[in-house]
Amino acid sequence: MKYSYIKPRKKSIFSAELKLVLTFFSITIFMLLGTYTFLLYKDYKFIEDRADIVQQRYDLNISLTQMKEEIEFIEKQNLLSQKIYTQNSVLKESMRNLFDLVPQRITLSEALLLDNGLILYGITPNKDVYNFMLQAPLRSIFHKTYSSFYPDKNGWLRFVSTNYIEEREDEN
Amino acid sequence: MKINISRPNIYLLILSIFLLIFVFVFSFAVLIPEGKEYRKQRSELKKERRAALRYQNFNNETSELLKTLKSDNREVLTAFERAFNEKRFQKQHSNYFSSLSISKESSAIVDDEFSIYEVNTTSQISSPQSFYDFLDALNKSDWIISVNFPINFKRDGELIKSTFTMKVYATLKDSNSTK
Amino acid sequence: MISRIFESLYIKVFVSIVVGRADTTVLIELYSKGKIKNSFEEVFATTDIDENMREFILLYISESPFYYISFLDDSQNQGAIPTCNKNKIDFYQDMSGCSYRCFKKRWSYFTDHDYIYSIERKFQHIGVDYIFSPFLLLANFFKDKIADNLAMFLLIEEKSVSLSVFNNSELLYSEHLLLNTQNREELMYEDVGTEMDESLEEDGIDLEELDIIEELDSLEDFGDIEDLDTGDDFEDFEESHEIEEDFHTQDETPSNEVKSDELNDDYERFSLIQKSINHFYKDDKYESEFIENIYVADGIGISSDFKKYLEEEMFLSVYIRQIDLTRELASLARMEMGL
Repeated sequence: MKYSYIKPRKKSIFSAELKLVLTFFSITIFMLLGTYTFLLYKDYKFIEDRADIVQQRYDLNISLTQMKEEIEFIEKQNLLSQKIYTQNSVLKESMRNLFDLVPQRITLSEALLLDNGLILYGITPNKDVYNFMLQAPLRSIFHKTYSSFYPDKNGWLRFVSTNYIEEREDEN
Repeated sequence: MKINISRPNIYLLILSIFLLIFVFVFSFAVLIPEGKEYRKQRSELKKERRAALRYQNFNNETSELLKTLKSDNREVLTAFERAFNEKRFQKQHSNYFSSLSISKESSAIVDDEFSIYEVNTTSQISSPQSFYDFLDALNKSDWIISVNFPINFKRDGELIKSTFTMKVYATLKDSNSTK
Repeated sequence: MISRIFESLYIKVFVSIVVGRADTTVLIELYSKGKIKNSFEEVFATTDIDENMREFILLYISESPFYYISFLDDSQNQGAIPTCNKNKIDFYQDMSGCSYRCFKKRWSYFTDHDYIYSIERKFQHIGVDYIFSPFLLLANFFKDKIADNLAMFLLIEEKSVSLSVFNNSELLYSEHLLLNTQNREELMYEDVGTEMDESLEEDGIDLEELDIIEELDSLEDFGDIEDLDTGDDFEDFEESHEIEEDFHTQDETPSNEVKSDELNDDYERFSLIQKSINHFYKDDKYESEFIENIYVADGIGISSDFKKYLEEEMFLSVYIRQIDLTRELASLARMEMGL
């Protein structure tokens, strides 16, 4: 206000209309940019999540394989133990059957059980008893039976009964 | 008719048109493709999540299965794990025998996953029934043991001298840990 | 920097408004990049703002937000004082109710504060940015002569005469003289200073009051041979001569009224000036120096008689320069802005 009595009014290029237009567009553009930023961020998140899922699947895969192997192994163990238990039970039963087979009149002195046969040593009063009471059932079980006799004191016979089963089963 | 627009209004008009064009171009060239991408990624993520969930469930089921198997077969599994102890065996099964002696025949034979520990047994039993009982007890013992041929019973006075081999099965420590 | 870009988008519009006796002159200059690209001038038959004037101005100011409206102050109570010092100002003039501005720390010009408000109110629909004093206009117009001369400088407008005496940029005396054909009596007794000289009355030209008795007195003086050589006698002779002339012109047809009005005005101006000079000489408040030269800024187109009056009656060397009031006002506005 050097020379004039009054100060000039403030001049601005921002007329009311211009301000309105700028406000409207700045809000619009702000919202557009906001949406765009949101979408970018979300896409980035999605890609990240998908990568996480891939990683998760990979980890799960590993653990699953591991578990499968464990399960397999447990089942193997199970099978084996079952097999052994049955094997022992079968052994018991067959031994029981076998010794039940032996009549009272015949006395065993030794029994040798093999995986493919059975050798019995014993004393029998006479051959007939042996043949009917022991040999016959043995023959029905075993494929090959041999008997040899040795006379013993008292007129009783000592026998050696050798019995084999032909089928070669795998040894357990 | 001459249309006369003042200069400030011309600038305003140009600015408005420019901004409008910008808004449209931005929307169509940038925003809409990004929106499509967004929807695509979202649906794919959903699918993958579902698949992952199924997989997870399957994994959980398998884990449950493993757990139940382990718990159901605890005794067998522990029996397989246990290292054979001759003295303990003797102590546990001496009931069935009048006398019992065990000797190690061969060291562990590796049979892919299992080690087999062969043991020679010499014992004296009063009657075959004891042996049967022994065999029953063997199935319930602390170890997985099978009795193998040859088995020899020989009368020895009042008692029966019996000799037989036993195989003690155990899991291989190394193989189990790596698996 | 950003504001410079914005300013280059638009041209500057300078509107100058000068109010005359019965009309107003509006000058619009379109200014860009240091040059006046275009100018439009129009005279409107009103001393106030009328529809046409507003339309005319709005037509151009709507083209740019950078428009500056300057107005030449036509207040009746305005003038200039030889000092800038606040304490000394009251010595010359009672400044209560006045706005004043200092010119280059040498002298100040003032005007009625309320009148400024009334101007702003008058322009409230289009607004006013600058109000300049005619003394400022005068000082700027004659700045080369004021700097190294002792002279009187006048600005002639339709309704007023702005009178000032400068000695090498030092203001010695100043007065804003008003022409008013209706109130000549008031003019007679217009008092700028507190003193009233009797000589004022004697020197005053008043057609109505002049009666035959005075005329006779002057004639009697004329009869005295010893007084023949006095300058006063010559003056009185001239007066009577003029009075006869004036009576003569009154009988003429109305077509010559304008000319006679002009002559009347010029004579009135002359007599006002004469009165003022005498006041300057006589008043002790002002540093009196003998004036030999007058520089006149003619804003209206005065007749040659005016020059004659001054030269012959007061033995002054008169130099007349034509001034375009509106154009000078606009350049003042640009000076204020620093362009």
